[in-house]
Amino acid sequence: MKAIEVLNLTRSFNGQCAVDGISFEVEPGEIFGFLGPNGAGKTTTIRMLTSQLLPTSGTAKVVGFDIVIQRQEVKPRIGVVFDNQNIYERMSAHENLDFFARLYRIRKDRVDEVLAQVDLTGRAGDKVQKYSNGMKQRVLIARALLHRPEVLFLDEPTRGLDPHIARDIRALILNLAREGMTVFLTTHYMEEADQLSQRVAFLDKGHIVALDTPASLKAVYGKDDKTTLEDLFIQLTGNDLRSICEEQ
Amino acid sequence: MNTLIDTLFMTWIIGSKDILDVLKSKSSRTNLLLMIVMVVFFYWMGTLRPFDKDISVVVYDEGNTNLMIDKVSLENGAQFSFREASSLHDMEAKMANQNLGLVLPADLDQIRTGGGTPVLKGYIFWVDRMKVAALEAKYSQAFSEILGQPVQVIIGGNIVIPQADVDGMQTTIAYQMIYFIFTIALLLIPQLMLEEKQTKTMDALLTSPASPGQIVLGKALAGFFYILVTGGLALTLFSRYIVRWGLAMAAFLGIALLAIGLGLVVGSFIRSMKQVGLWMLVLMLLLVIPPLFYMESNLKAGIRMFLTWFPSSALASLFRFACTNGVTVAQILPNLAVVVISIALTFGLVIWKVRRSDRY
Repeated sequence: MKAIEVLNLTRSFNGQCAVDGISFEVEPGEIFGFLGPNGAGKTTTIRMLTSQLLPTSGTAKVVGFDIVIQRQEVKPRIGVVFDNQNIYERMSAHENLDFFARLYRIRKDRVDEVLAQVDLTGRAGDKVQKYSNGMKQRVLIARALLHRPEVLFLDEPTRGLDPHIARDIRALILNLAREGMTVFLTTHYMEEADQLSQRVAFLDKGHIVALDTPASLKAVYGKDDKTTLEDLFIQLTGNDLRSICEEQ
Repeated sequence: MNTLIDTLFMTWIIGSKDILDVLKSKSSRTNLLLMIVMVVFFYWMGTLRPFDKDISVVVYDEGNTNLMIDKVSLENGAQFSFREASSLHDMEAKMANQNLGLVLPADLDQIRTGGGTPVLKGYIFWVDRMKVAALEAKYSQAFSEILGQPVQVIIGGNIVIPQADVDGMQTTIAYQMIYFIFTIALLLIPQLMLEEKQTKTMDALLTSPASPGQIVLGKALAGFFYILVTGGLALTLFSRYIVRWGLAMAAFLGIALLAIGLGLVVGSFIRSMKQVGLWMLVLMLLLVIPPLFYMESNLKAGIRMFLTWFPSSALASLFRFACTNGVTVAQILPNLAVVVISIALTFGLVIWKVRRSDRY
């Protein structure tokens, strides 16, 4: 069974196609990079796969469950780290996690486990509004891991973080994948995607324009052996400002 | 059965989180405290009237004593004003906003000239039923001073329950219940939903095992808790006016449900605090004005009829009936129908909006 199976998934908003018939599969335990410029349809895809948004057409399964007709089956099997720090700021990290632990009906000592996993035990009782961005991000990750999901969706998990915190989070993602968790990752940092992902998909204007391992993509689309994933991103998603300027 | 238990469980978890969250929010805490102060203040102003020394008396003269006077001031500063009634029934009807009904016996003149102590029958409202002895003493002393000789005012079991079709303190109380409950619901519930939207924590809830319906029910539960705090306080303070507890509780529940429904409607549609203010202004005007004027006898009958069809007027009527006598089923049913239909429509709108929310 695939961790994620997507077939002709489409989503329109007022006649505008945000995601246009995309298809792909993600293997269990794989870190899958889902890359694209702003407005390419990454977040819309994540919202559909996490049962927050209904597709206009097409189908998708997460851990074998249909995202539309079995959405209540999907929810306990996924963890989501959103692209914004959506935590209850007036509550402490412990209270935040305790609330979600009750929603997921999991035992309370698991809260302490995940707090230790993200190295927040010492500040767990402080109100989240006093936390730095990096600490808030760790709370978000802890919340997503609380119920031991089979698939973890990470929407730009290291955006705006200090390099050392970003490195800690990347190390954590690799550990989770080693333990068998599937990770669906979107990021604007191509080096991060290259370092973490077994395969990456480039999304542009709602279409997948390329999907393979970073090495294969570089081999197929790269101009030379110095080609980076960032070069490919700019080349494949048509957003090379330098090229536009040079043409003019 | 499992689905019901699951829904109740999720509702409780989300609701209890929101109940505590309200206490952690400075603005919500201030709103709540202001409402509690307002409830106590209105009660104090409207019912205790500590500085009010004007006492109105409706007098039914059984004979022809010619003792009827218009106004009199006593040494202690109290002012008594008198209205005459043509019968005992007329006296009870005219006691709408009066403190005391008084029957002057037919043989009053004979007793006075014979040197005896006249005994006057006093009638008080249901609300004062616990103060019979104190009022007997107070009025005996006052009328002794007025008549210039010892007089005994006996109230005993002469307790008058206000009539359903008469305006009085029960109308004010019903109005205040409407005002308190709608205000607290519209202050708190939309804010609970708006905060989840603005901080995007709603997305985290939507990806958790909680369904959109359970999330909305959780907000409704938190709203109901704070309605119980403020409305329950008002209900407790006004309890001595209530004659029919069944009807009072039904009216209270109706007000609470409609207020929660409207709070959820506002919370589902709004996207900013500015919109909350605008919605609240419009809704409060629509809710508060009709029950303020629907008993106003100076208004044209057509306008009065129009105002009675507003759900808040229907709810005010039901609560007023709970404090009155002579209520018929024919009076209750149309109001009940307006309330039930309004609540159903409001919650229908919320459910429609919630179901639509995952398709935007």
